[in-house]
Amino acid sequence: MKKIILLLSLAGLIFAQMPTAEYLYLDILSDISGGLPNQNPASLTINNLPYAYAFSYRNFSDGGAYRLPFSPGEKHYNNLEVSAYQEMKNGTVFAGRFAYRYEQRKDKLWLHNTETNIDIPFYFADSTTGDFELNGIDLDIIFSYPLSNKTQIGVEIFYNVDEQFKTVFPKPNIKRNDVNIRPAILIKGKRSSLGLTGSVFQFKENIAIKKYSLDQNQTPILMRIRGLDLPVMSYAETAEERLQIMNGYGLSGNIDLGNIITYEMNAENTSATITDGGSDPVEQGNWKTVRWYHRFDLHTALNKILDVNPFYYLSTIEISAYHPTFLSQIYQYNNRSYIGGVSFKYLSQKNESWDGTVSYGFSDINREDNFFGLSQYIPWNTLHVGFDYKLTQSNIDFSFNIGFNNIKVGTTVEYNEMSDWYYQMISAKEIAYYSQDRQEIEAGLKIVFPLKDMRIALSGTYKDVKPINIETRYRMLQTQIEIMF
Amino acid sequence: MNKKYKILIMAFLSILVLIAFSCTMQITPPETMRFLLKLNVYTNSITGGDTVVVDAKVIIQSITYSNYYEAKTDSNGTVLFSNLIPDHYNIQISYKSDPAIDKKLIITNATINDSLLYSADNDTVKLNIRASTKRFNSTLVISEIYYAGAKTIIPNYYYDQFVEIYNQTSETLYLDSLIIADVDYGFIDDSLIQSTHVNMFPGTGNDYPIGPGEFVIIAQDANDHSLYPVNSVDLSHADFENYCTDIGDTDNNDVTNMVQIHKKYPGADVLYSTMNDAIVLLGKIKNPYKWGYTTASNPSMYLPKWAVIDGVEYKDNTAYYDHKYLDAGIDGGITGGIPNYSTKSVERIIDHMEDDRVIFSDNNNSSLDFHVLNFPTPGYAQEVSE
Repeated sequence: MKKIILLLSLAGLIFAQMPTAEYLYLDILSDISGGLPNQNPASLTINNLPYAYAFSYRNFSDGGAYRLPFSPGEKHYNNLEVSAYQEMKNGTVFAGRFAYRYEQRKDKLWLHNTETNIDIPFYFADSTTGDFELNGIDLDIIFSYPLSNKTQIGVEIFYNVDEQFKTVFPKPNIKRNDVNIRPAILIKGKRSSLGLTGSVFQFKENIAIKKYSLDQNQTPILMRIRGLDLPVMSYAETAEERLQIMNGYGLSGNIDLGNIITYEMNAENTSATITDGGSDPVEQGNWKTVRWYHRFDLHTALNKILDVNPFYYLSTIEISAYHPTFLSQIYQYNNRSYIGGVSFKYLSQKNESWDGTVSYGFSDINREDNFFGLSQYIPWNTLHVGFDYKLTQSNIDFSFNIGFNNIKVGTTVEYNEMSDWYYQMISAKEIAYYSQDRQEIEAGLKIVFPLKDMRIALSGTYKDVKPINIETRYRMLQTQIEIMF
Repeated sequence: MNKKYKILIMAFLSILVLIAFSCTMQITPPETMRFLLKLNVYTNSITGGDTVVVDAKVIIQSITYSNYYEAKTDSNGTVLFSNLIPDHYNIQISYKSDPAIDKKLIITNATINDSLLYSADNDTVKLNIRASTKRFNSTLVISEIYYAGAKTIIPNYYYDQFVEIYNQTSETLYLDSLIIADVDYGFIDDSLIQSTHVNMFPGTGNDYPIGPGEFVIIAQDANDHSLYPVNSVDLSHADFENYCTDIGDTDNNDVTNMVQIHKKYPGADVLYSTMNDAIVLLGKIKNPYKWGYTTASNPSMYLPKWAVIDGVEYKDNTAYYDHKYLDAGIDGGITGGIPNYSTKSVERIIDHMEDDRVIFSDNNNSSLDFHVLNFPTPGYAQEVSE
């Protein structure tokens, strides 16, 4: 049950906000530490194992005309997984998850890179729009071990390998190979706790176009996109290879002071390099990303049945990219999010709770292309109202949540006097996407019930994004069935 | 008031203050690496001293982004190009004197090839170019290369490749013992080129003349390739044919065979790359074997760069200057950028006419001197035929 909740929470995080960690860009919901405090793998103990083992199937679909230019018209993800939690000798606890994924991305414009995020400054593309099919497996395991009554250590290892094909000429083949290792420690006092988690990761993406003899009467136009305008175009190449390697490290911390104040933070530093040409390598540039994330929660129990908890959330992403020849900074990106709010928890009965959240936030994106002399600035405010209801009765768990976001965009600033065709065709549409006032509604339903010696969990999440004054939409639906033993 | 309520209110107000202060961002115009190019053109060959060249046509061409700018120098011999993108540029300056004043055409011509223009510290790049004034003196040039091959039923067809040589001068020249070779190994700074195929014109001195304004075709196979299913060019009337002596190549008995000097790989044909290669025409060399071979199991043949009369480099990606074989003294540019098996060729651009004779552009820069034809024109120039 916890796992379902945490997966849904994670999904919400991905699709609602800018990612606060690089691995979220992989768009793989493989995270068995997601429900632990600040995702600290050392927090896994024999007291919070949700089940012995489980099988689950998840289906995710989204699409709509309201999307960024390089986002696929539709996405269909299928995910089959098996997971297990086991207490081992000497108090060691093991958690593991193995998943197979089949993903379809339809009507995707130009881009070969698997995931498309406007904060990445370098892309590889060709001139066709087409469908992509991906097959992949991923593995996520945690070992945690109690050093003493007060101290627990743990490590999480995530590994993914997948392969993707574009179904139309020039049929690029995209392979990803990703590793994320997160050692952690948790120190517990009587009423307080301190957790620290490190992370070391490498995310590798290899894009290759090979000579297809059957298609030699066609000629691709390949594009090396850098920043906001004018990609480097090459015509009539029949083979090309791009290797993108992102290496990074990070540190997360979580402090709980007597269940009155909790503080979570995450700092992450990523360096990425781009090389084309395979065995005859040609550097194409590099970039650095620095992420910060902080969250403060103040817990105030007004009485036995009502908690009122103010919180403050801050995240920043700073990216700077460098030219391969001139070694100068050619691109910078800043994204800030400040969100403050209050959550309410009302425990009407022991088996029933009502949670509400009201928050107000400010976010902005500033993109500067220092090579071509272009920039875009987009600020917006978000009013969020959320509501969760949970009920346990006759050994059946039921929960329902609904959230509403009203996003009001402030005054955008654009310096585009020296723009060329790519800016007008793509970058201008990106700022137009973010410049839309819009409303988002998200609702989720979960039910967990016993069946013989199993527990069955059924869940679904629906999201609708509706821009104001234009007739386009984005819709997302996710359903999941899980059989737990 | 309850202490808890006070804490709550204080906390909430603090959050609002934090958000309010966080939201301030001053947006200013972006810094840019674009720059102003101030280019001054001089010549010292008209009067002997430095003279500014007024009204000269200056063309600058961004190699990576293919942007093309054209302007004329002012009364100070200066031309300005603003908001240029940092890049490698080809710069061509040309000036033609008034034929009414000087019947003999004089061209003041200067080119800078593959020049990196970038301003790291300030926003103006100043460039002085001293142009040489000369009478036109190109002799033999490679006027067309058809390397791409034809689109046909698999396997794709490349037996229709040809190289075309043209006599720019007003005098009869002789092809005897000149060499045609291709270069697809080695580096730009080498003093020797590494050739995959080396073929020599037959004759001992004055056996194979090429008249003023005359074209000569050297075919891979001098056959009629226009027949179905190839639909390519008819080379059955080519002037010369590459004939491989080691394996059974086709041989048109009506066409003179080139003398095979070297072939790197075994095979029945002299196949130039359909994507990346350079073709050079070399003058008479007493002993072409003198410079030896590379040490590879299939060796390339070394030939001296000083002997090159003309050379043209082509690539499927014309921005790949890091991988050039020929230096700026032979070909500072790259032509091509066309699909293989597309039946397209690259042809030299006509510069002007002289006594009814075509004079092709010859700046030793194929980026400027060549254009792409949708169909080859063996034995004639497209603009004249039209």
